[in-house]
Order: sequence, then structure tokens, then C-alpha cells
Amino acid sequence: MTLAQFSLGALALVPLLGAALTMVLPHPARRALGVVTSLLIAGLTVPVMISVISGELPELVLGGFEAPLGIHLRGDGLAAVFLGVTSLVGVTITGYAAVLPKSTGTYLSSTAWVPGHPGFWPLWLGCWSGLNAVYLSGDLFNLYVSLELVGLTAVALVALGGRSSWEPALRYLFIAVLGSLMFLAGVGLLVSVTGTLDLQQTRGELEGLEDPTLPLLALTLMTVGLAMKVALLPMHRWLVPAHSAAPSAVSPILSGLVIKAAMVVMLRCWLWAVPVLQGSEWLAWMLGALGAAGVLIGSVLALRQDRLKPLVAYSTVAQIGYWFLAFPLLLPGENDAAQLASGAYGGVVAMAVGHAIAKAGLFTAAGFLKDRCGTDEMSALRGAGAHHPVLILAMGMCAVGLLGLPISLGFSGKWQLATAAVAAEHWWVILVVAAGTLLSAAYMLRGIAPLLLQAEIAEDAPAASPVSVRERVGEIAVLVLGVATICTGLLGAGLSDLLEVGSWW
Amino acid sequence: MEAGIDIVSWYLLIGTVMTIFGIVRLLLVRDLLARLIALDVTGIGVLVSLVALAARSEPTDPVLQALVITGLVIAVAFTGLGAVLIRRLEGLQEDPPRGDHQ
Amino acid sequence: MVVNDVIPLGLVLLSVVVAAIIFPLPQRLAGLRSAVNLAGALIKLVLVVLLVPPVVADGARPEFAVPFLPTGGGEAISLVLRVDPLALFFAGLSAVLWLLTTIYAIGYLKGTAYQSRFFGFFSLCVAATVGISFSGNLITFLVFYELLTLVTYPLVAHWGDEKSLQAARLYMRYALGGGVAVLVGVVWLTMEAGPADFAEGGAADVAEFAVRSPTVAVIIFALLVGGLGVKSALVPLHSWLPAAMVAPAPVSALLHAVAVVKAGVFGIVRVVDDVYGIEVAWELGVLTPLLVVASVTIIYGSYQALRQTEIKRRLAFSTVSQVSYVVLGVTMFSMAGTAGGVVHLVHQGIMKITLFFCAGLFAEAMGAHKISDLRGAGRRMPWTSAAFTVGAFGMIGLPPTAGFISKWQLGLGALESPHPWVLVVLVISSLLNAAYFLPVVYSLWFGEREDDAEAPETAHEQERVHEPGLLLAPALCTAGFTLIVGLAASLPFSPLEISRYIAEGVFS
Repeated sequence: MTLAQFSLGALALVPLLGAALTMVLPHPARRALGVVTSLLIAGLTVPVMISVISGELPELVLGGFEAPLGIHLRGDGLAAVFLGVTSLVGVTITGYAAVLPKSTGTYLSSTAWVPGHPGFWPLWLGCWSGLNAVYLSGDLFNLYVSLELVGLTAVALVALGGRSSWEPALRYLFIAVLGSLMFLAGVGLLVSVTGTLDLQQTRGELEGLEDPTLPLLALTLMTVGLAMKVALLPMHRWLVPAHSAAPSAVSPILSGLVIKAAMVVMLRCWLWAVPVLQGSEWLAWMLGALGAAGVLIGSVLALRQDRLKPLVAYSTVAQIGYWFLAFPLLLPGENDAAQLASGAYGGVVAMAVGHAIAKAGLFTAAGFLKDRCGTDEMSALRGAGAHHPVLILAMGMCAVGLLGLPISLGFSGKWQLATAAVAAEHWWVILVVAAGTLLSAAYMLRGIAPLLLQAEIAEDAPAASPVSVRERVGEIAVLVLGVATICTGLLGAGLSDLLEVGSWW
Repeated sequence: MEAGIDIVSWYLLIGTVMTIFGIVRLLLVRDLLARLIALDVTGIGVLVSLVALAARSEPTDPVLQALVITGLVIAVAFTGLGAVLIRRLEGLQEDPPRGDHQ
Repeated sequence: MVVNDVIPLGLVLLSVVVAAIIFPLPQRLAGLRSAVNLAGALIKLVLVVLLVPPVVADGARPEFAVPFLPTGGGEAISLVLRVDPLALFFAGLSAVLWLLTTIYAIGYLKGTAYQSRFFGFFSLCVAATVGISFSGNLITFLVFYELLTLVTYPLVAHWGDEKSLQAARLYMRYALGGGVAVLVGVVWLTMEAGPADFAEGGAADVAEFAVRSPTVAVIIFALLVGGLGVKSALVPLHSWLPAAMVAPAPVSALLHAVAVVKAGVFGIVRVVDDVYGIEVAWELGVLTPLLVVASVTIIYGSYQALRQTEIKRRLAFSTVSQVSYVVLGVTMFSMAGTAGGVVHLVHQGIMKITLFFCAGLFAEAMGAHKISDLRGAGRRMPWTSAAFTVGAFGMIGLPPTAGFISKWQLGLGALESPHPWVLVVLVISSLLNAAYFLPVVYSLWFGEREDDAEAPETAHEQERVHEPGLLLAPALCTAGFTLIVGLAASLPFSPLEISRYIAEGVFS
């Protein structure tokens, strides 16, 4: 077994082990173990990434179960990219949560509500294990199970936010379960046709099939189920309350990483498992139209928010729309189809990765301000930037990424999407991207500009209390994400090369 | 053999009807507990359909059976979590907030 | 001297490093902050000056490239930083004026809050400007162009009151709207004709493409120039500029003379001369409409300037008008005209920054914001008034100032060009310039203060106002440049000579 192969297994199991251990440890030790585990995961990511960058495809069959019924982990370009970004965001957020325990939720002890929920650590590490397993899964069964692990822990993480978060958490649970049931039904249908769970075998079986009805039905079911979990408009309504009611350290995980897991599964289904079927065009066009609606409606709704966290959450809804805009372009047309599809696919991944970093940073910043000032009403946050110049600078950098301005992966992604759209002569995509960029600039300004006001802050207000060293360190975490947003913008070309490793074509 | 297919189709039909019924109920009802139950009905409907699909092949498809068992475990876990949340929310209504937090 | 390919990158990063050092500095370390700032500005100036002989005389083109954006399957598009004469011309302007504006800003902001933030973004703004000037293709240009928009936002909003934020929001709305238009144009052009490397006389791929589908080429040209026209304040896209005058005086100076407006015009020059190429643009028939827009902007800006009663607003509209001379020059399709337009890029910068420095001085020292407040200021602030007078004479185009050289060169170009009527535009605008600057200059020196007659003794007390040295020195420097550049226009490596060299390249 090579180091890369060992790391594949360890990436899924180490966080799970960490989660189990943290459950039995006393509260302060949980934080320490959480940080150690997160660094270990980041370290394990490195050999996998190196191996994939050098063009190899490390594979591992766990427990000796071979396909069709086996636990099959496979590292390819898509997996490497998302493992990398998850490590980056994961380590940063872990550090933030360890430094500022208040951000992990509130805990009802025998007498009163205590800030800092010990349940955060096992849940977050469990969630991380699920995320890594989703990226690495080479078969539908694993994809399903790990996606459920992510969903279950994500719902529980939302519920750490105290009373106000329970109802959004329950709403999230309903939609998550419904989505996974649809996905399960689709997987079952696919298996009954192909007799295998392995992604590559499934594709091989389906390519020889004459009648596309059943696979198409299966693809539709899986797509609808996953769209619920990704929160594509009009199935987005659970996202805003859940992401804004979650504790400060949880919102960035949810918005930055958890919805990406469902997006990765979506890409695996559309591009790896199922070949282009007769009749899947209309489904792709449907997704493209919903994506366009998501960009526009999500942005307009974000513009109408008076509180910072819901504004950021609606911005996620808008950003999700961009990823689906590309679906009609993923289908082969008449000329240079493979090039076009790879361009659109590279664009989707670049935007999703850029969003993971930038949105995690922005949500952490919003949560930081909410924890500090006791509210995230924008009118109450006027002038809050005066004491936190570093935070505001970092928020600005994250906003650059979300707007898709250079230099950021958001720009690189939009560029690839736009060039693919021009080549395919889908001009409407350009219009939507342009309108979305302007609208997002408007809501970002609405969110950030009040912080720059030099308003008088009452002396007894919580915002005027001295900033502790721990809070300063927390600000650094946001700055790390902000700087990463900008610096990853230079990696656009490398990212696209990396994605070619083990791609479906 | 023909009768067997027929029974399988019946189960498939029952599963589909349960699924659809569950989804409709889930979307229409407001009471939280009723929604959770509707969700479970949907889940059982999907699982029944999968069992029926598994029974179509001879011998019974082990892959699908494994999927069903996993799905069952996951559904139980989610139901448990949902029940805890509902219990807490209803606890809130019986015992109004004491104003010690938020 | 060996010209290293890393130099362009180093020049961009220099300002970024300065910004990174300044941002975390606490407010009280004013001395260290100023030292870092000035050291950065001086190093940059020296480097740029050292680049002039090899690039202009020996034809060296130091270039730094790094792959940036993937294309569908093909070779990645690179971020290219390349030094050519036009790039150096613009970079030289920004290097000189950055140094002077930094000195001015240190004096202007002494004792106010948030200085680290201000100077940090100030340096980033210069980094973006240098990046714009050294950009070797449209993508790189776009990257730094958008960066410039972002980093000037906190500068315009610096005072943090409702009015500043409103102006900053208006600025952002205009600039981002223009940025999106440019982005769409660049994406489209890249798809049709490749990454559009800047080349003297135009990019070969673009020329081919213009022959293949002229209509699309015209649409893309309109998108690019329309987007760039926002920053260069072409009428009717100009209204953010007068609103942005609420910013601190050094920011206004930067916006008008060095960075933002200039970046827009510089972009137009690049698109016309180095992307499409002047011949291709002429054949497409896009030059004449742009020439008309520029003429309208010149006349309209001057007319609006005449109507303003506030000093800074009058100067703002004067910028709207003056910057379009550059567009006028490059679109009139004659070599002398192009040289005139390019040289005005520098001349306008020097003259306008003098005027803004002086306006800031008047406001700081005497609280004068309206033109009527300036009556008799010549006796109270003689040095400032003298510098203002030189700047104003330059704007009107009186010899021996830099403005005279620009207008003379533009006039020559108009006579050579297929559009001799442009000469009429030049004459009208010079008359309007005189009409709004001469009365100011007259009242500076010969005007009587209204309260003089009523309270002669208080007038006597206020006879002489202290002119802060840190503010006055840069103003005198630029006023001096205005004269020197005018007098020494025919020496080698003078702006006029370099711009003639550039124009020859354009028409080669």
C-alpha cells in the first residue's frame, strides 16, 4: 500500500475516530483534540494531492469488498481539489472555534445557558469524515452513505445554536431526508438496471443500453433529491433560516462545505455515472433555467435583507445558481463538445471552490460581529468596522471572490463559464452572469458599507467593549480565508489541469 | 413465475403510492410530529419499492438489499434526531423561555 | 544596463509590499509609516527612471508572464507584464506623482484618524495603476482595472460620513457597471481572436478577425470603449466624478490626475492603438463616432465648469473636459494627433494635480471652498496662488506651459487629420477654459475681499496666511514641472519626444 493509498482510507477514518474520541473526553480536551485532528487531516490530504497532481489515480478497496458491492475509494482531480479546499477551510474554522468557544453554540447546563457547546466537536469531525468520503467515493453506495453522514451531522450542528435554531434545524432535517430518499430511489432504480454500484461500471452498462427511460427517471430522481440538498431555487427556502440561525462556527461549514458535498455528488452522477442520455437535455435546460432564476432572485432577495447573516445566506442561494447555469453547456453539442464541456465543468468547480473559501470567510466574519455586538441587524452594526479594520479588510477580500472580480477563483470560474457560453452561443448565460455580478456588488456594498460609517457607538454598547486577544486571533482566521480567496485566484490554470486527471472523458 | 412478477409489481405500486402520499402529506401538514411521520411513510414507501425492485431478479439482488438495510438505519437515525428536536420545541411551548438567553 | 524580466513584477509588488507593511501599523507610528511610504515611492521612481533609456533608446521589452486563466483544452492565458514606451510613460507619471501626492497626503492628514488604512489603500491604488500601465494583454489590464475600482472605494469613502459613502456608492455603481461591460467585451474578443496581446500597430489576430466579421468587431469595440469611458468620464458617463469630490484632497488629486480617470483613458489608447490598431479601427469606422463623443465631452465639460461656484467642482468638470483631449488626439487618425493625445496624458496629470493641491491648500489654510472665497488670496497665500496660476495658464494652453505644447501638437494633428473641424473644437474649448480660469486668477491677485472695506484692521491681521510646507512643496514642484516640460519639450526623453516615438510605433 502506498502512502497515497493509506491516506485515502485515513482521510475518511481519522476524523471519524477523532469524533468518537472527542465524545468521551472532557470539554476543554475536546478542543485540543479537534485542532490536532484537523491538522492531521490536512497533513493526510497532501500525499493524495501530490499523487493526483503527478497524474496518478490512487485507489483503495476497503475491507476487501470488491465491486459491485464494496467500499471503493478513488482519488481523482475533482476529489483532490475538494479535499484541498476542505482542509484549508476546515483547519481555519477549527482554529476559530477553538479560540472562540462562544462561536460553537450555546449549551443548556442544569442552571443556565452556557456559551460554547461541547457537542460541536464530535459533530464537526463526523461531518468532515463524511465530506472526505463523499469526495473520494468511487461508487453510488458510498456516496449515499457519506452524504447521509454529512446531512445528519449538519442538522445536529445547526441545532447547537440554541432555541432559535431548533425550528430551522427541523426544517432542514425534513428537506435533507426527503432529498436523500429521492436520491436513494434513483440509485435503487439505476442499480436494478445495471446491477452494479460502481460509477465506472454503471456508465459502461448504461452506454450499451437501448431504452433510456429508466436511467432517465433515475437521473431525474437523483437530480431533484440532490437539488434539494444543494438548495437550488425553488428548493432554497430551508437554507436561509438554517444557515443564519446556526452558530458562528457552523454557518461557514454549512455554506462553505456541506452544500458542496451534494454538488460533488451531483457532478459525479451527471458526468461520471450516467452517460448522455436521449432526453436528458431538457433536464439540463431545466437546471440551467432554475440556476438563472436562482442568481437573479437570490440576489434581489439578498438586497432586501436588513440582517447580515440572512444577507450572506441569500448570497449563497444566488451563488448556487451560477453552478447550475453551466449544466446546459455540459451536454455535447455539434462542434468541439469535449472542450466546451470541460470548460464549463472547470468553471463550475472553480466557482464552487472559490465560493467555499470566500463564503466561509464572510460567514465567519458575520458571525463574529453577531457574537460581539449581540445582533446582526445592519442598522445596529453601523460603525462596527472602526474597531475591526482587519476584519473589514478580510470581508472585502472575500467579497471580491463572491463578486467574481479578479483576482479570485470566482473570476476564473466565471471566465470559464462565460467563454464556454460564448463558444456555444448561449448569450443568455452572459447576460445572467453580468446582471448577477452587478446585483451581488449591490448587496455586498449594502452589507459592508454600514460597517465603514464612522458612527458614534454608545459607551455601554457591547461593540464598544475592548477587543480581547482571542477575538483578535479569530479575526486572523477570517483574514486567512480572505487572503486565500485572492491567492487561489492565481491557481485557475493549475486547477483546470488538475481536474483533467481522472475526468470522465 | 408470472404470479411472482405480479406480486412484485403490486409491491412496487404500493411503495410508489406510499411515497407519493408521504410527500404530499409532508408538504401539506403543519404539525411537526405529523410531518415527521409523513417523512417516515415516504421513507418506507421508497424502501418497499427498492425491495420490490430487488425481488424482480432471480436470485434476489444483494446490492439492492444492502441499500435497503442502510437506508433503514439512516431513516431511524434521522427520525431519532427529528424526534429530539420536536420534543425540545414542544418543551419550549409548555415551558416558555425564562429570558436567561436571547 | 541589463534589463531583468522580473522588473515589471517587482515594480507592481513594491507598492503591494508597502501596503502590507503599512496596514497593520498602529496609528501613532506616523514617522515609520511616512518613512516606509516615501522609501517605496522613491525606489519606484528610481527604477522607472532607470528603465527609460534601455526601453526607449535600445528597444528592450522586459516581460514577465505567468499562466492565469485556463482555456477550453488549449494553452492557458497568461498574466503578462511588459514594459513598452507607452507603459513606461504612464508608469513614470504615476511614479512622480505618487511621490509628491504621498508627501502632500502626509501633511494633509496629519492628526486625523485611520491613516494606516488610508495609506495602505493608497499604495494598493498605485500598485493597480502600475499594473495597468505594464499590462501586456487585455486580461491583465482587466485584472488591474477592476482592482483599481475596489481599492479606490475605501479612499473615496474615507471620511466615513453619509455623504462620502453615497458618493463612493455612486462611484462603485458606475465603475463596476463599466467593468462588467469591459469584461464582456474582453471575454468575447478572447473567444473570437485569442488573448489579444498588446502590440504596436495592433494585434495581428484582431486585425484578421475584424476583416472576418466587422460587425462583431464593432460591437466589441463599443463594449470595451463604453466600459472604459465610465472611468475616463466621457459624457454621459461622467456624473460620478464631480460627486466623488467629497473625498480628501489627495484622493481627488490621485483620482483625477494619476489613477482612475487616467486608467480609463489609458485603456482607450491601448484598445485603439495596440489591440485593434489605428488602421483597423479607422477601417471599421469606429474612430469618428468616438471623436465626436470626445468633442462633445470637451465642450460640455467646459460649459459645466463655467457654471460651478465651488472650486473643487469646477476643477472636476474641467477634468471631464481635459481628459477627453487624450481621446480626441488618438481618434483623429494622424500621427501628430496621437502624439498630442499621448503627451496630454502626462501634461494634464501634472497640471491638474497642481490645481488640486492648491485647492486643498486654500481649503485647509483659509477655509475657502467657493470661488468667491478666493478674492484677494494672492496676497494672503502668494506661493499657492502662484502655483495655481501656472496650473490654470497650463489648462488654458498659454505658452510656455505644458498645456500649450499639448494643444499645439493637437492642433497640428487636427490639420494633418481627415477632420480639420477638430481645430474649431480646440479653439472653442480654449476660450471656455480661459473664461472659467481667468476670472479666478484675476480675483486671486486683484480681487478685493468684501469685508476689507468694513473691517480694515482684521483684514490686516489676516494679511498673510501660513502655507503648510508639506502641502506647498509638492504644489510648487508640479507647477515647476508644468513650466519645465513646456520649455524643454524638444529635449531627448522629454514627454513630447517620447510620445512622438510612441506615435511612430502606432503608425508603423
